[in-house]
Amino acid sequence: MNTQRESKSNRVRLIRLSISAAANGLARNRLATIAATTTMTLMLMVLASVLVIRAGLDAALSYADSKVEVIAYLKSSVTESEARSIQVQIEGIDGVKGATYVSADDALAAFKERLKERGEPDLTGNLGVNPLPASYEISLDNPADTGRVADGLAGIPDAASISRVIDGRALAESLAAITGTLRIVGLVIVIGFSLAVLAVVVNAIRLAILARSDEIAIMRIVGASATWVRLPFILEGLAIGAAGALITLFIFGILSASIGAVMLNLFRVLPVQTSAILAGQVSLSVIAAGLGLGALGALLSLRGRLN
Amino acid sequence: MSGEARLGETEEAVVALNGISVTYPSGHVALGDVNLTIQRGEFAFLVGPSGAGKSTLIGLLVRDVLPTAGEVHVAGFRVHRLSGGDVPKLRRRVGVIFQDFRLLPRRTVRENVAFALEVTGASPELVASATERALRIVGLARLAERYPSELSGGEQQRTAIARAIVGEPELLIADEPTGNLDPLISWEIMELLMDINRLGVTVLVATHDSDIVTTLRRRVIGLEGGRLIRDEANATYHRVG
Repeated sequence: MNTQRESKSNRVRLIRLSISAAANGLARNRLATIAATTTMTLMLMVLASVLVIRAGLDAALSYADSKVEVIAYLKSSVTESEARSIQVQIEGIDGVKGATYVSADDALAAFKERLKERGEPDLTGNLGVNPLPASYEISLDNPADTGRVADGLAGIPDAASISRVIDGRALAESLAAITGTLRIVGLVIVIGFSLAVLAVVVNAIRLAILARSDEIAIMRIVGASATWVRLPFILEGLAIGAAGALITLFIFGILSASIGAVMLNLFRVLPVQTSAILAGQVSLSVIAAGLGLGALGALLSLRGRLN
Repeated sequence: MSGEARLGETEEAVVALNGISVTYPSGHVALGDVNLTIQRGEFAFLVGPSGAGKSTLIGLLVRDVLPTAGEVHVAGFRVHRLSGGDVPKLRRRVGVIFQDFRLLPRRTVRENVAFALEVTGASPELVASATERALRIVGLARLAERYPSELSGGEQQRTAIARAIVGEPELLIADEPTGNLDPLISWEIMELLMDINRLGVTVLVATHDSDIVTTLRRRVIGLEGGRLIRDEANATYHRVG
């Protein structure tokens, strides 16, 4: 029990010694420390940006997925009673769950609403007539059947009344393809930056090791364990990572309002209530990446040394 | 400490080398079939021309060098089978001093000595009392707050000796301890090493100083070309006859 307590207090003492050695090391190699922290910050900013953009794309994608449907636009010549009979024909197509009629007036009202949401000027009042066609929004039993239903629309008796069919699945699929590509590009950028950060951190820690090579040699001679010889350098790596993460989060904190606005403009669909979760996830990722890269850089620069 | 790492049969031998060979990857044989035992409390000189294998032998004792054949026992450790994690435990039982002192220039005499215990996790009370004791033994108590640059060569070597003995090692290895010192100071350092030996610490001194070896008439272990060519008690630097 006593020995346990003693070894615990030994550990506390050694950690304290290591922290002060790490702080001295960082201060002594100020230039390398600043270079490493700056590179780390840049990398973490890129990481955070990629994460935010990806979250936006994901939200847009899931929104598109939830809205998958087929829309059949009617020719402007189609009367309301003709439209009713078309509804029966549409609902008779295999795989169709239901069809909702959206009149030209409803469509215009919805368009005006969207303009208002985006804060764009409503110029539709200048138009003499309503340019928007009436349509049927067709919901499906199985969202995968959009192609078959779209084909079915061409086969109904009043197919000639339909001007255009929009296949929601195709839209969602092309969005998914763009998202996939952007995801890979983001990953490549993040990996590239991570390697650059590693190189700079490794360099900074190597300088610190060189500057303290006499001290390290003496520590080895007098029997300091490898852990205690290495700990100050690992702490230096962690400190560089933590500093980079804090600066990044500070900058993102300041910019968060504008980022939110940009995201809303870009994707329109980013739900406001998820932004707190997103901020939490980005913060965690940035801190984990900063500490991880810092420690990894230190371990890499220590590899094969100090044995 | 695990029972595996320590041995019982050579309890009184602080150093036991059995059939030691060290061959470097280049094929150069630094040591060949060396057998050597140093008993607890002995004082011995290790002599031989440059390249004879003295540094390799010292390296073996602190596990800086691993043997390609044979067994190394030091202070109860089977050094040839020691795991990396146990190496510091061995080094805490073996003090080493060098020709170039190897002091930390930004630390005072006291801090240099205390550093050796601090990095092993010793309590501040133990560090303080052991440092005081070591400084008293080497006669540096009054210079404890000086920096190495403010000391003479002899005082710097005394500081290094204090650092080597602060952890109360079983074996003190001095690698050319007087190589950088003038003859008078060299004698002072040798007297200090003998004082430490009288306190019960086994001392091994590698040296080229024939005057000191011949005058002191202690055990002399001679290496040449990586071979143990002589091991005599009460001997002179050069072999007689």
